Amino acid sequence: MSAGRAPAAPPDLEALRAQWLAQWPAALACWSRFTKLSEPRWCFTAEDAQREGLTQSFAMIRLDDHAVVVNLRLAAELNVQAFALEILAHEIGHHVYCPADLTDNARIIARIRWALPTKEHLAGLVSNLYCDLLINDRLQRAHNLRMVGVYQALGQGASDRLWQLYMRTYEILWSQTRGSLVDAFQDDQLEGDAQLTARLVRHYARDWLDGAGKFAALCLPYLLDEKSQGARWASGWRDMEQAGQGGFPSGLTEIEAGEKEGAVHPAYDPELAGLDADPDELKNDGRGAQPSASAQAGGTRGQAREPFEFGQILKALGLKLTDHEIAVRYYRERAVPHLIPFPERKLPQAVDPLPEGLDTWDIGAPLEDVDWLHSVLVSPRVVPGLTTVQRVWGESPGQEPEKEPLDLDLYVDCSGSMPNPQVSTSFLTLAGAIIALSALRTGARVQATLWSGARQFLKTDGFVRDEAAVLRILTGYLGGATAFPIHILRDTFQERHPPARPAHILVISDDGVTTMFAKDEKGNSGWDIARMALTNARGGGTFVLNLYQDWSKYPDLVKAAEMGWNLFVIRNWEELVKFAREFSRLKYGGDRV
Amino acid sequence: MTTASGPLLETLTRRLAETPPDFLAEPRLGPAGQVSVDAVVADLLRTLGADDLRPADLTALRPPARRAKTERRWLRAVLLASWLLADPWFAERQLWAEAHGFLFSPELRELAESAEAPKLMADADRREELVRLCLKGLGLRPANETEAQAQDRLTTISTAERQRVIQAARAAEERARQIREELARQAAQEAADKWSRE
Repeated sequence: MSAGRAPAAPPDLEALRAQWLAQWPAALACWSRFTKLSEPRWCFTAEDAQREGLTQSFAMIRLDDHAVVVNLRLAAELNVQAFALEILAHEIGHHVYCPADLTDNARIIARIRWALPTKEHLAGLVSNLYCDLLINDRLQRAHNLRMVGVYQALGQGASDRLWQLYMRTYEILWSQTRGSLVDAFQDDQLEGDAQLTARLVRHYARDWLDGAGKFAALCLPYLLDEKSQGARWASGWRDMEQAGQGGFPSGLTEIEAGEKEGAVHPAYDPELAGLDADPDELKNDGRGAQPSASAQAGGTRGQAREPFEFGQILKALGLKLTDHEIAVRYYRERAVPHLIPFPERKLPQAVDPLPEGLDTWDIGAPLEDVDWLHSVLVSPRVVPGLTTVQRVWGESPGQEPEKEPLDLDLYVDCSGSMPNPQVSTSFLTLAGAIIALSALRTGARVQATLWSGARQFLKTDGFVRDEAAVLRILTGYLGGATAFPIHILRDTFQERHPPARPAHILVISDDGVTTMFAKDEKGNSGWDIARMALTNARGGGTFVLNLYQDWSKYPDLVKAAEMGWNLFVIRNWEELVKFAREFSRLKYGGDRV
Repeated sequence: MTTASGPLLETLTRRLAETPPDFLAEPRLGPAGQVSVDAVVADLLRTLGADDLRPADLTALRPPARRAKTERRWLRAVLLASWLLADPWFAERQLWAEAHGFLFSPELRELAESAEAPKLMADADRREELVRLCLKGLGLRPANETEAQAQDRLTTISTAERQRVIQAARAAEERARQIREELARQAAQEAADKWSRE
């Protein structure tokens, strides 16, 4: 459905749309007179809402395309049609105040997850409740919007403790009489938590990221309560459930400073509780709200998240990605800061491009080849394929020697003995990603083969320049037996002679790499094939291995090293960094740099 | 006790938020301090229609230096309350007797014990609490509020009540945390047992 256009609206909903649309400028102005957002997408039917992904609530946002989506039919059914300004201003608040963008939304969820042990899957819901509190408090107090009225209209019937906490918090924040939003109760813990929540909302109104973990720690006991878990009201308010759809946040693989340490119950924060806490007592049991010395000095900064944690955050953002797609993005993000100079071969002399006039540009040729200036000079009325021209280039001998990248032939072991890179960090996979991305950056082509047992393999379609295809192979997992695909190595290099580019062979494995030296299906010796491949590749070969002892303890590996293979053992981050550094220094033959 | 409608709450909380630094200065206690609280209170009550302070009041507001530890906080709260009560709304109504009662009330002493004057001014909840306590002490309630609303809000933000319920929340969280840790320990133990069996 295009923004603001809904051709088949029933007359009553069309009138409602006009009424809501009239409030849109005022809703934008609540945040700033400079706020600009495209008109909301209106849904009149269940099908419209389904198409927009608006399945539970009557309104929602998407951060990637800055969309506000409103289901007018549901809004009318829920009796909130009179609160157009309040609801629209609230949704705009998600775009301009909290969380404002996808990355900050991810950062909130990451912080909240630390405070929800066993209930991490509810991080999205808690994040939504927290952002709503911040936005609503601002709208009610600073702009006198009738947020109380919205909740009075929406909230009838719920009785679980999470609901009581949430509504009592609003009563305190907005000086409402006890019982105006939720039936009055006698529960000191609940009252205390509501007081703390109200103080937290005010205290962290500006630095709301820092309050997220505390809010979640406060919510945890209520989320463990079975009645609250089944509360349907909360799912009906999930206007950020699909907020991440279509986008992708960056910088999430690393744990931020203070992210973990901030997940403490506000009752232990003297600033919020207002109690004269014994600082020694809090310090001793590790619950003090003041960040520890390590946190102040960076805390957990620099630690990386595991791929499954990374994936859970993305899913909580509303991103619909498979574990494999998440793993591809995870290893790519972790590899990119560590790319190395991939070996290249020097050719005797480069050639410089020499312009040699113009030729007709025909439809089917790349659009960027069109020389628009000369095309317009030929005819001011451009007719593609008729008046369009492109520059023709010749070559003249240049001054500098040309560099030709080595191709990369990558073999990734994913037998049962290897860790699944989609679940926990695999430093071997990371090493492979660094090498493959470095190679692609220099213009090399990469052939990637994922292998496990006999005839159990996946590979790219030869040497390719498709980064995603290579990373998909690299992060795949078969988890079967162990049998190196000798036939692929053989077929790749048997007939690979100049002028074909030289290639580097990179094998990622554990001690199962020695199956490479067994006989192939034709009875040929694996040793002979390995030697032939290394010779014909002309770019050297490397084994990156996950071993628990030195490779010199394995006779076959010693023999491989004598043949000319480079061997690296990588079990942790330090070994990975050392490998990357040494790999970039390696020279493959006299004519390479 | 029934209360009459008083000034707007926001007017008074704003007045408190804009307290001049002189009213937050150290009260004179023996040779130390800068502000003579007795003089400030005498001026205030005179503005509100009273005669001179009684000797007992003067003694209370001029404690010797040795009682500084117990009286300093209260004197600072009295200074802050004096600034609040100097609002023209009170002066117009000549509420000196009620104001005198509030300044020497146990409620103001209790509030002073819970927070120092700068916090009573800077913290929004404490500010509101002081204003509401003051109005209640004068037999008033904020304009546009019913008695029930005023009492409910005062109970909600009352320091004593807040500390009691937050202590309860902290105790409950402490119990829940211990249970969670025990469950996590049991789960880890079961996982380890299962692993060693296999």
